[in-house]
Amino acid sequence: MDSVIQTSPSFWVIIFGYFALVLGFGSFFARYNKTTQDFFFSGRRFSWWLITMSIVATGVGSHSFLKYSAKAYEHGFSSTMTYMNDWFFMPLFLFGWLPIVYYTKIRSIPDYFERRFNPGVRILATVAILGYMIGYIAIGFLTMGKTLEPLLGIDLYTIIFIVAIISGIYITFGGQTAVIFTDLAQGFILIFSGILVFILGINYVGGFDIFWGALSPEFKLPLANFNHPANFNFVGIFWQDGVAGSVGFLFMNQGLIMRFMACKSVNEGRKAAVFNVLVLLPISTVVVSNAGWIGKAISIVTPESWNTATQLDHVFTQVAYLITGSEVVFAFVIAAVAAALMSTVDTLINAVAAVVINDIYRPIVKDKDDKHYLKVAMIVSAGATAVGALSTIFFNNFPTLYEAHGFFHSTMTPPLVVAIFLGIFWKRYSTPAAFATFLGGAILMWIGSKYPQIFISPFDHGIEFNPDRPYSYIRALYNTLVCAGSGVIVGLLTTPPSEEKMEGLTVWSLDKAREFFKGSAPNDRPGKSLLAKWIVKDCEEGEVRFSIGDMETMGADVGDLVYLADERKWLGGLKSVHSVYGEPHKEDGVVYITQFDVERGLFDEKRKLMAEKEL
Amino acid sequence: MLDFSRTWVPYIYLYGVGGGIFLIGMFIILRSRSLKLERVRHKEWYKILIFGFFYYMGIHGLFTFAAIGETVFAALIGLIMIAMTANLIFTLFKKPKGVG
Repeated sequence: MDSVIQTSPSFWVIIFGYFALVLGFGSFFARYNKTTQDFFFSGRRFSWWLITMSIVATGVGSHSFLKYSAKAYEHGFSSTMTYMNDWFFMPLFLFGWLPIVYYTKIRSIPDYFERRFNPGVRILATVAILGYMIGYIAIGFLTMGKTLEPLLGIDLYTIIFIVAIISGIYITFGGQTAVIFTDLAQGFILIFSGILVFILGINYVGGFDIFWGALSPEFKLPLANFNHPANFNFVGIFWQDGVAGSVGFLFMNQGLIMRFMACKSVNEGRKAAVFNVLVLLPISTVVVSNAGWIGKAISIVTPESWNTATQLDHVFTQVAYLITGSEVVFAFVIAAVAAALMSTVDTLINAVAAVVINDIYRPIVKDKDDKHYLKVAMIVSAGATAVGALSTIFFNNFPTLYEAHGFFHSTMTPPLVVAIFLGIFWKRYSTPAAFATFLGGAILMWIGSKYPQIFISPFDHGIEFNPDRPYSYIRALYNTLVCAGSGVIVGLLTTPPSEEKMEGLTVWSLDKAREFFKGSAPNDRPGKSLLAKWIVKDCEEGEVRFSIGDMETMGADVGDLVYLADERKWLGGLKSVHSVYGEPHKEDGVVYITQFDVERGLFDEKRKLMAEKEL
Repeated sequence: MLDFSRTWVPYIYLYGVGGGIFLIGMFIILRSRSLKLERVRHKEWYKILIFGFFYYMGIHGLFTFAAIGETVFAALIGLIMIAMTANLIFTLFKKPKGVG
């Protein structure tokens, strides 16, 4: 057992000061929640850069700092594998799933399943997705407990209880806009603090050359050994994380999907996703892993300063404590981990609320006003926080967070991932086939977990059988195959759904989805965005009016969709509205808008508006 | 000295199986006309998708060479990647020429 790290009151002042700042930030943005649409999707108005930074904070969860530092300390640079294998699915995400969820205006992933199949499949998807998200929330809380355990020296579950209360408060009142803006700030903070740990760590061991020279060539390889040891091998992690985890995160993480749906357009969503995977993920992987590499270098270069009794999940905290050299900096780094926790958990709590309200509550309690649903959404957010905190008891049974997370991905994601994939890309995939994926897949997965040496071993790629935790990672391959196999066999044996039923819901009919989104045929004539003064005038409801010349510049026709935003680009679309082009007038450089749109967009009198045709 | 099975087999598996997934994805989005190459903006996305695949191949290749002490190859890959990244940033920040 590693000892308790000594801290003074100033350390806790900084930590709690940070939490107070985050709570205040969330409360400030709560004023933008006027409807459930705002609470969950932020009115689809944000720029790509704002969304991509907030995605960093969601993706780089608090579990990342601890679990990757642990594996980095044990196995070296191959701890980066998880963050560096997401590109393979990008074509299908950018030009398949993303435009489908955006254009069909689905409220949740289960909502897609009802439209594509029927209400029964929606129920199965709801159960699966809630299980996935609650598990994710639990791992987040468990991480925070393990981060603070060596600092506080008090019971793990007491820490989790306190953290859950603080997290729950601001997400319950803030909603999606609070989540996005809090995550934006936290994204910057955690990247900065992770790099700070790396720089201070390199300095601590005596410079980069000493750091690099101290580590063995095998430790520095970016990919793990192909099939051993059983608790960390390349091929198992490829299927568990590169396939099940990546697809799970991109395609079925309701929180992430909601973030993309908060983008002002599909193209902005694509930019956010690509920038995140190409630029921010490679940076993030260094941010979350480097404490482990530094810890290993310290244990070789200055073994006397390294506590050999340090538990693997405490490597990050131990390294941060050693290298920062000042309690203020140490407190800042720990606050960044807290930032990562909140950013992951807040997104998921908001997502759980979206699924519960839209997929369970609204179908049962119909015809209530929006304020009622908003209030229930807040109560559900608080409930999700509590359930997530309770679920930490299960995940605490695993030896490390990495293994807990690996087991979770391998088991929870395959049925939903397969159903989403076949639903989007295979036209023959019918309602009975979707049932077979969920139910048949679940039964075969259970049989596989019961008799792994018979069913999973044919796919084990030579990975050693560990009777305590059989095939933790490679079971993802078996689970994915049995779910896909069940769906494909039943799909081939049953009548395919009609083309009309699937219109706009598969990658084969995206033009229909765009038409559905707009309400008429899309206008793809090239045009430019422009700046215009705004004047309040009586227009038709939901319309804005530009001059004939301005509409020509934008390549727009009456009835096309337009996006209007405050001219200050750094606001990232916070003050903006979507509207429709009405009949043109004759004043160039001026847009007529209604008082309702001015209030909805929170427009300033002295500021011009940037106008851009959408579709 | 690390043998081939330790250094390059995982790399070949990653970009062999992962590459297969990537190619199937590209085939589906082109075949379904979700990605329309006649659109200027879509053509840019097509280039970015191809770029991303080789970019990650480059990162893993660079670090593998660096780990086994082949610094010349690592530096060469690094230079190519810097040029490719600069090109990508230019593409992303360019004004859009159309919608969709």
